[in-house]
Amino acid sequence: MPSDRNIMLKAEKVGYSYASSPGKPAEQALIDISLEVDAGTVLAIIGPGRSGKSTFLRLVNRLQEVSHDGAMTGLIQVNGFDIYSQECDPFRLRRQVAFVFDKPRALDMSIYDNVTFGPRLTGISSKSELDAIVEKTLRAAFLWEEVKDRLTLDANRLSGGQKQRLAIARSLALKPKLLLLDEPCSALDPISTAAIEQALTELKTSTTCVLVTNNTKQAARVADITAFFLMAQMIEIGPTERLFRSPSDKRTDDYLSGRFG
Amino acid sequence: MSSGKGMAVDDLRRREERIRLALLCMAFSSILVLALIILFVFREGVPQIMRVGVAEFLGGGRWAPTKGLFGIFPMIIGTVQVTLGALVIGVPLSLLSAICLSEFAGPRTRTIMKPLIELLSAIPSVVFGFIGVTVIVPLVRETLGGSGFSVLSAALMLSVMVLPTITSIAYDALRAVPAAYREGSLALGATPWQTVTRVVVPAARSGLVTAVILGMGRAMGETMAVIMVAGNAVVVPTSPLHPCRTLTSNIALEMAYASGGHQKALFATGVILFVMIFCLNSLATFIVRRR
Amino acid sequence: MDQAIRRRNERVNRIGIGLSYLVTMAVGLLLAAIIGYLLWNGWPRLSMDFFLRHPEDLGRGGGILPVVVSTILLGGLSLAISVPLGVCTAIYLTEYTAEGRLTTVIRFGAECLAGIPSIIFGLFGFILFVITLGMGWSMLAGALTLACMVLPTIIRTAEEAIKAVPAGLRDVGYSLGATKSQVVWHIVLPQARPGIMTGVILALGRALGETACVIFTTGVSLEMPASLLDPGRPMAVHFYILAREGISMEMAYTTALVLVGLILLVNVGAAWLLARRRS
Repeated sequence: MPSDRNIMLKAEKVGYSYASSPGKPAEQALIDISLEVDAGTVLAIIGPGRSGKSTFLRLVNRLQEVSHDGAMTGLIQVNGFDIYSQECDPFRLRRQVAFVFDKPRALDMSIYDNVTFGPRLTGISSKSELDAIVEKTLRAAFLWEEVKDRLTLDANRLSGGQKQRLAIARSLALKPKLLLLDEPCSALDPISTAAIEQALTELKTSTTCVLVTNNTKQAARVADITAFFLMAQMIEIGPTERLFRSPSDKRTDDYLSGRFG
Repeated sequence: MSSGKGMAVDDLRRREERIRLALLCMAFSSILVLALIILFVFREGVPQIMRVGVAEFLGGGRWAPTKGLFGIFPMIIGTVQVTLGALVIGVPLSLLSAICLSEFAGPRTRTIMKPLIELLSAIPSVVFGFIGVTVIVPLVRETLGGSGFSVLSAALMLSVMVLPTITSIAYDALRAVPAAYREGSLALGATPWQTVTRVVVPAARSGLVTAVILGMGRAMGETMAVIMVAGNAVVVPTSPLHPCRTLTSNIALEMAYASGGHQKALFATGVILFVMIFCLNSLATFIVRRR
Repeated sequence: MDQAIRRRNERVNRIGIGLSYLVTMAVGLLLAAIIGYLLWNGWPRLSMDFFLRHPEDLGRGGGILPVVVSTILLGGLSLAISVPLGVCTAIYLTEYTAEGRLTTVIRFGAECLAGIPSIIFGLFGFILFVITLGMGWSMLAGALTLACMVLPTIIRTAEEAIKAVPAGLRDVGYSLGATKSQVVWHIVLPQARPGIMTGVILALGRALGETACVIFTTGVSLEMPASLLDPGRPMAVHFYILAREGISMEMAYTTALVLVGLILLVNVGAAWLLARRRS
């Protein structure tokens, strides 16, 4: 029976190495990563530092190539399209594949302008349309109630947790199919973390999410599928509950039990 | 997702590339201006130096354009004397100010004094020249004799003008000395003054030398203020109370009515000035790089 | 023996510190003294008339209206030329290339330019703009020359301001689908604007005080410049002529007062702008 699966993100034997520079040999950041993420789910990528998790994430929206010189092998497909092919417009891609960074960063403008920055770049200028986008995305990020009366406030006056939720709203404004989050809660207090996790849970039906996190408990709370990365390789991947309950690889078990980290 | 939009991608890429090239061209503006300056000024001046003869131009003691005599030796000496005088007076004062601000003054004194000294450099040179004429020249005349329009007056005035430059760079150089040096010296029982003179200043040596060299460059390039105060006689001054003419004054004074070979000789003076200051600045950069 | 040496060292210490304080205070007070001196002598002639009337009798009487206009025109035009050029250079150096031979060469050019005395710029402006390009003594020639002179300052301050923009903000822009030029235009430049404005204002202050490079390019006409190709006489030049030709000491003092006042206003304004941004 043909599968009804709608695969949003597919990686096939993806490898990445940083270019060598004088005094520094070429560094292999990713080796042979293959995974598939169904639409409407949340994938969490866990693993100790320097495992390649963030690098992988940045390859999916082609952000890595903006500031780094490296070589990628393998295939990455988003919604069926090879994103590294010649026909792929990286600018359009980055609107379809949104990214939330680890440090909360607000653009130096009002809350309203922050959220509408992406849509305005694509030419949307009608106030009613922009207003609707602002309300919808801020609600989805659980920030609307707190800021709806002060949308013209300078976004840098918000707290870290609010800025991060603003970042999520800002990314959602472009109606992306895929949302990538690179340790979004690492700098936040538990309350803001809970708000963001709730936002993710409600988001996933419309926006597939890939979440890199150092916090295994967070993965357990939020993700449908979890992948374990270690030293540039993906050790195993599977439904979160199964992975946590009975991991198939000893290294996964060791990491989850805290024997190393 | 993005299939079939190849056209749009290429258009965008081409636009970005065009922007990049435009910015690259603009970025060359500073080099272009430098090249143009060298080209045009040297093109006017160097042939004249050749025509007169390098030795005669630089060493000749008579500057009489109407007679076709173009020796700038008195002006070179004038520049040297005025500059050295300015440094002899200005460097100790600048260093003391820089030391005070960096080593002894509290933060409140610093936030008040430092901007005051820096604002001093914002005052235009013509105003300094004017004050030189109305205040310094009569003062020199009454206390030391002569007409007052002299090397000494020019040096005094220039020393005030280069003070902010030297002080500010010297201050940065002193601040860059690690605190550990000072602490070590004080721990050995040295007084703060001894620490400064025997440890901090020697450690900041190259930065301080750079400050002096850059101050020298500024003094050498000063024009309007010197014209108003130095007397402008084309003689080699044998006493600080004699008047003198600097290379810069020479150009500014006669440019208004010079023509032909005379005008080219003034450009030639500019060439010499340019070379001298370029060497000075290169020396300063070299010292900084070596550190 | 030890006691005597120690006491002497302490005396030297106190003298040294005291002396350095004295000198520093004296230097700081110098600024106040200069302003006070100009105020004392220049205040009597200062009035609205001074700014609004045309000069009479070569400048002995009347006001300095054409001079004010020339000054504003010259300052504005030279900034209009040098600021876009300088900012674009800074953008290219920081955003579009990595440090390498090209950036070293460009920076070397800017550094050299910064060290050239203004009289040489005067010669350069004269031979290139006034003579070779046929502009004659004009506001345009003067503005172009001044623009060349302040270019290194603008490049340096713009570069610092752009480098101060946190790196992560650019990533945010890219992640929202912006191209490099869009990131620079919509995110980096607005953030760097206060720093750039400060540099521009400081360059303006310098331009206002310039005489040597202006006097050979704008000419010395006291007429009101009606077009960019007309000669004119900015304030610093007017002051110089008044003082040097001994035309009128009174007017000279007042002009100096206005000139210095204007420059100080500009510099203090720049500092205030920077301080306001930091808070």
